[in-house]
Amino acid sequence: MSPDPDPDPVRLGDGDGTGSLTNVTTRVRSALVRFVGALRTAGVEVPGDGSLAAAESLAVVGLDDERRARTALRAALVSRPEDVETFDRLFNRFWRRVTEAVDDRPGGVDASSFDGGFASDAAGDDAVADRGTDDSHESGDDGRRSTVSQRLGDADASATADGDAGTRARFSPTGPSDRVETDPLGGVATDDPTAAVRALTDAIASLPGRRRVSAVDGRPDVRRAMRRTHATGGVVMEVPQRARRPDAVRGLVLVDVSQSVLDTVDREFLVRVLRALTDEWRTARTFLFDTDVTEVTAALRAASPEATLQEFDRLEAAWGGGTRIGHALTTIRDRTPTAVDRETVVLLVSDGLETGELSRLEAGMTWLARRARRVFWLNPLAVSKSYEPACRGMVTARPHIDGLFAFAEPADLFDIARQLRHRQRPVGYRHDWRRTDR
Amino acid sequence: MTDAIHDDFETLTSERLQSLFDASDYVAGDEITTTVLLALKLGRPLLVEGEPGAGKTELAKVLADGFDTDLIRLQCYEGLAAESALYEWNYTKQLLAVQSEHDGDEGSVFTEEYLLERPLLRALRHDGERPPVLLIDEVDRADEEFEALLLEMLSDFQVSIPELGTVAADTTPIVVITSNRTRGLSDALKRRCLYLHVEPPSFEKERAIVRRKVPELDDVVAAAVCGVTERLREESLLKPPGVAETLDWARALTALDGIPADDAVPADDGTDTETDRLLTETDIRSTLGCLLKEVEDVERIDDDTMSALLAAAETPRT
Repeated sequence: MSPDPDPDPVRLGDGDGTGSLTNVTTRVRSALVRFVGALRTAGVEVPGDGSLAAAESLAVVGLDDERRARTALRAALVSRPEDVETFDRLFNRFWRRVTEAVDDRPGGVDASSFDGGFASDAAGDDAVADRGTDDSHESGDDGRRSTVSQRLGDADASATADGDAGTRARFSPTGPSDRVETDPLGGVATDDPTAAVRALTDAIASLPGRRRVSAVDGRPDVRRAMRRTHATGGVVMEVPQRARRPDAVRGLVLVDVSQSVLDTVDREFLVRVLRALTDEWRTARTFLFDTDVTEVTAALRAASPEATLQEFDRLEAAWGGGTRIGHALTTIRDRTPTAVDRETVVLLVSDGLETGELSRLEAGMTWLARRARRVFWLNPLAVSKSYEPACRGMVTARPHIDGLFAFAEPADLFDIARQLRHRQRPVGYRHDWRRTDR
Repeated sequence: MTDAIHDDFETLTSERLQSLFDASDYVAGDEITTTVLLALKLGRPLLVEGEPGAGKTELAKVLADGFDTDLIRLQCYEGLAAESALYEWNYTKQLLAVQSEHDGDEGSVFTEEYLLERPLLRALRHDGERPPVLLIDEVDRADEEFEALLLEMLSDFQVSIPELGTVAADTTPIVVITSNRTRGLSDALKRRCLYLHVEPPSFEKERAIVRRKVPELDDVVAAAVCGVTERLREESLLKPPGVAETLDWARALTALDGIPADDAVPADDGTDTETDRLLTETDIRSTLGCLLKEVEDVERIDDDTMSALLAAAETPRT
């Protein structure tokens, strides 16, 4: 059955209470089309004939009841639960415009006034995209804050009550929530991972650094050419070339901070590695994720690891929470797409125990693999010799990664560097120092 | 069988539809009622998504029951093909007919006589007084090729059989498609449907569901059951319990008859003894399999979580 492209105007005002809507039906329809356009711009997957379906739905339920109208339009225009929040936000503006037009100007509606909110939506994709992004940032941040701050707030309240100032955050990952003592760093003896990070950086470097070395496809090395002419009586026999040595990395570090990861990886070690990566790499953006995503790049540049942790607290970056890798990836894709480009090496620290939707994980990994230069997955669980990447998250993600490695101590980073330097050999946790004699 | 609604869809109201749900003990909020009403009035398929056990399949059953019509169910699975979903030729009968043609009875073997109807075709050719309810269950389990098969049917409510021609529905069936979101559905399929996402129920709604579906369970215990389930959903579980699991658990508790509902009044001195509790740790541990279907989830219920669950069971009573 094909939808009626031009629903009977009277039916939009079905009922006595909305009879006056008849003369503004065109405006309502116009606002509806703009509303659908705004939804699309905000990233909502609206079907191609969404406007028609929405008009039909409104014709059935009328404009008497906001809740029914909202439900009807949602049924017609939204097909993913994650789009509901965006829909509701834009619907509020749509509904406000419609009711204002109906209430204030029963005899007719001035187009510019009526279209006010939605006209700007359709004015330009960039403008709408910017605002949509800002809005989503805003709401997303609010949502995150409310969740995270609630967790931390609880912890803080308890901490105050208990007089235990050391209790700052809660783990609530794939297991039960649990409080974690965040003692000052240094309590656990851990090797400094800086050297290991440097070795890793050398192995995966792709950006040209400051030093120059001989090359076959570089620029002429005039000085060397002149020196060589001494041996040939001033005759230039060949022109050596030189180029900048690749020793810099542009990276993106995504760290799963669920408890299943933190049970295996020492938190101090993790912070030190992240700080070393931030120092050694040319650019390194770092995101922590559990059920939410928080960028902590600036915090990692703090003067000391302790200061970094204090910054984490200030950012309300919670340690713990269920692992939603797909959500994290798609959030980064939507909000900070420039974090990854074709020169970016991505390190993803996670156990792969995804609790979110696998389709979303696959979408995120596909985007990451297509966009980044290399994607390396550092899995703390792979330190076990009996480890097999058989969990659903790893099975979904594995086709999209360039290497799956164990990660729990500096030796692992040295070993990753060793494997990556031998470009002809297979790489991965099966070939690391724990399982071989190397 | 409930009192069937014999109104025409054109005059059907949300109040009447709500009464249909009530008569079938199906607790539906405004969102479900309005969306179903839209689907009926517009003649569009309804795509229902939500966690397993949220009541998606039940919705189709309730509609069939309420409208006093047939429920035609197509359970999707990986590898589902047209032969199982749409139609199939009766090859044996055709073969016998071809062999018997030597006796002088010549004719095509691609006629109605040799056609085996499968659920989709049966729904289109339904000759009942009222349109049937076609339930395409768990469509995300089927391959994407099967979705393509559905497109023609869902947009025009007709299918093309090369040997016979086009079969169109006299009366548009009520189509309910359910999905557990194990994979994304194609845009083409979603475009043809109205969308309804069944959210996990609130405490009050779940309590009402338990009260209706398991009336033999004491109301106070039902509240405790819902409190525990609600608290359990706050944990990060691989498979959080849905409404179906709550109902299973409620029935299990009833069957075990281990809940001293009448004695569940707190002691006078206010002490919290094991017998005072509506649900004891033993009750929950012994029946946890009704709620959690993954061994990892069961292992996550440690003593702290159990204490939280027991506290949640007590909370609604106060």
